[in-house]
Amino acid sequence: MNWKKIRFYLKLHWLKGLLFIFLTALAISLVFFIIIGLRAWNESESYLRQSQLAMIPLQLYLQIIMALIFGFVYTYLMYWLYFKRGASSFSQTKKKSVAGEDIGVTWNDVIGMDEAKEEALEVVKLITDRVSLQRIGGKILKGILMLGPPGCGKTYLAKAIATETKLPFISMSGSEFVEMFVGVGAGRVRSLFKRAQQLAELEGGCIIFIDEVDAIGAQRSMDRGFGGTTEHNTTLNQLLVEMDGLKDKDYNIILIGATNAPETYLDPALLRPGRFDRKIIVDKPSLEDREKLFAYYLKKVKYNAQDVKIDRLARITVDQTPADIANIVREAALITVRNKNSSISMQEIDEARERIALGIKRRIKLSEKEKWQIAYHEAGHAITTYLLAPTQDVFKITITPRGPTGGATWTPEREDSFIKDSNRLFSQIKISLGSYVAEKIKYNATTNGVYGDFSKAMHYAHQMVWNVGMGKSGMLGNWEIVDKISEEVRAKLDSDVQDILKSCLDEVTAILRKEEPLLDRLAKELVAKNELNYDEIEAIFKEFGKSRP
Amino acid sequence: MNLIMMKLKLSSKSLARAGLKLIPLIFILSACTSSTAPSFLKEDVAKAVKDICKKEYQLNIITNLTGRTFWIYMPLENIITKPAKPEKYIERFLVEERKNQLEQRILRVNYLIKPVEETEKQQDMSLDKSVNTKIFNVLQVVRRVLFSLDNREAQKNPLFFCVITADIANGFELKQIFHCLDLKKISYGFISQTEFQHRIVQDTGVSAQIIGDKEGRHLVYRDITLEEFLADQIQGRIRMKFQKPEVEKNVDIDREVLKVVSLTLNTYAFKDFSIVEMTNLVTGAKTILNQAAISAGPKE
Repeated sequence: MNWKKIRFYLKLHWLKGLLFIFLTALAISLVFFIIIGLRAWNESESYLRQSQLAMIPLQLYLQIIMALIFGFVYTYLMYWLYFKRGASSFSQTKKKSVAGEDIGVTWNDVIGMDEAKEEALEVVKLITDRVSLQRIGGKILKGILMLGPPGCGKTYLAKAIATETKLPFISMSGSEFVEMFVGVGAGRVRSLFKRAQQLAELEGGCIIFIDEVDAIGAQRSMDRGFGGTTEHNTTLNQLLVEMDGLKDKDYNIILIGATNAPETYLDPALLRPGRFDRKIIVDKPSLEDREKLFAYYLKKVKYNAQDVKIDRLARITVDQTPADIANIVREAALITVRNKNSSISMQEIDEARERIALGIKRRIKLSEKEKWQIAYHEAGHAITTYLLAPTQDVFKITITPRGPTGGATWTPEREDSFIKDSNRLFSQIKISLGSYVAEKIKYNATTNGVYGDFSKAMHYAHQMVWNVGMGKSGMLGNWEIVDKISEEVRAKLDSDVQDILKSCLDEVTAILRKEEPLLDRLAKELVAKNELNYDEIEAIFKEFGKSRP
Repeated sequence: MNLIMMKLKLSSKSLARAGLKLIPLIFILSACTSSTAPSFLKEDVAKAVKDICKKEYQLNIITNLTGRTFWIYMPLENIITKPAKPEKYIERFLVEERKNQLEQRILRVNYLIKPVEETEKQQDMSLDKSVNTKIFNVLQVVRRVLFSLDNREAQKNPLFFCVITADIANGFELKQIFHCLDLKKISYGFISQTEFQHRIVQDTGVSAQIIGDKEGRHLVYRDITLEEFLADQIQGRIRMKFQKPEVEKNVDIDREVLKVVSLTLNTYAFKDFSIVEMTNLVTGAKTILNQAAISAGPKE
């Protein structure tokens, strides 16, 4: 009976017992070694003892230094572990919030995107009138997705929303969630929303802005075994849960996402109502928008109002984004300073546009033969554009190497257009082939300079046949989305592509043979001057009885 | 049973508490019982060295403390042997021993050094290895004892010790005089082994009186003075410099001797002299230098 109790007691307290034995052994051994040490100490000659004692101050000093270093390291480690969450701090986002009022982007600063602005204004009202919305049973807004090409002011609009709503604003980039450690992305999403929740409780709401949201919001897929996809999926899943997951309380947190990627690239779960409820398309500015933008940016610099006509600037900057327009004005200001002028004139703006569109001039010495080859190449583009593309101006032709090209023909669009008909597509192909034909006519040999032109021509011809049913054989449908196409169909489609290219080539050849004197003249002028401006080009065409409305 | 367990529990707690209280006590007690007192008194030096040598190295030695000089007589037999591999050296100079004197504040250094044709020579006789070990052991004991004397009476403690290794079978003896401070310096690495060797004053003697003298009766124990020690060390250093030459053949002999004198006197910070009278017995040239000139040493 007693033995049973002892066993039971041992089972319960074996660790304590073990510890007790260990400590007792430690104490006994300590006493034992102290006695032995003392005996040895007292038996040793005094000079040995003195030597040992002489070492003590130095040893003590070194030990204090070591203790201080160790103490510092240990304290920092403990601080890092308990207050900075140790290794899990990788998954914490260090993003600081900015108060809405401090952002300083007012509604009036948002120019050139009236439609997007209207949409955003409505969103602002929904955010600020949250209480009244909840009163009638309406669901609060969770997310706004801003779509559109780069440089169109998505971030700017988000900042304006934050300023207008006077809510704290946390800005992050989608790539900031991506790290080499697994689980960090999801951790950062959690941390971001936790911080936003705290701010929402304190300030009544919070705006999270995730730029390039496609970095985490791309469609989920199966992992092929390397783990990267799983990590991406986990990050996205966490974002989905945070946006519309099962939570005990709904916070007034609005997630604004911005992306240049097409909507179809994003995961459908992210786009469903309850997550990104609203989609705002922030597109390239219209003619009126460009006018407003030029007026806004030119207001900030000194310019010659007599010379610089804002309406003209808006017309000649078709397809330019607000960022491009800001860049043109900034570049023009730099050129003005370099030219030692007191105010920006149209000449500086043209130079700035040219530099941005064509790239900076390269100091490459071309041989005479190369100059002629490039001149004919560019003249081919210019003539085909002038005669076949009435919506494009031949603004400049140059045989000075710029950017990656040996020469360039700058043909900006005259007006905004959103769709391209078959005629326009054909004319694009013909313009691209103009260079090849000109070289062939003059030299009966072509250069590798046509690489880019052929790529462009092929792209258009392929698109016409494979995507939009413009082939000669009458094959309809978007064949790109079909997984399996028979060899016969494929051959037919490819034949249609070649047919388009050949027909365009024949037409361009006929035109350029007919206009060979014009071709020679343009080439000659180019070799002589290196560059031809809009007026000079127009004058040459007029000389040959060609004019455009 | 429960009661026992409870008692056990209680007693373990109280034991742990007592243990914790005991630890500082152990440290205090150990600090109190540890001694830093000198191990030997000056009066016991002779006996202590003798006893330790006997006990730890089975060496029968005779010791005597006269004034500040500690004498050790070690009677052995057949201490000289023919080395298996004799040490070879080049003879460049003929050095004849001349006794230096430091009397009435005048240091007289007489030297007879003649350059001779270079010839290879070898050391035919040397001390037996076991004898070297015995001398080393004696030095160890002397070190232990002399270093463990009461430093508060350093002025009275031995300044020199002289180890006489006698071959009582053949009537030969080797006398080595050490400065106690030099032993301390070599022990703590302040001087090199070569420098220590240069600082030892060595002398050999052959006498029929040595044969069978186990008690050191033929010795005259006296107190060696620093002056005498320095004069002899200078002589020894000159011998070592020129006999197994540490210098080239065409060296300026007078200058090298002056270097030795200056180095020796400066090493021991000896100032109790007025002039140094250096006489080259080969050329007859006599150089007289004052204390300042000796302190400055020869100009390079």
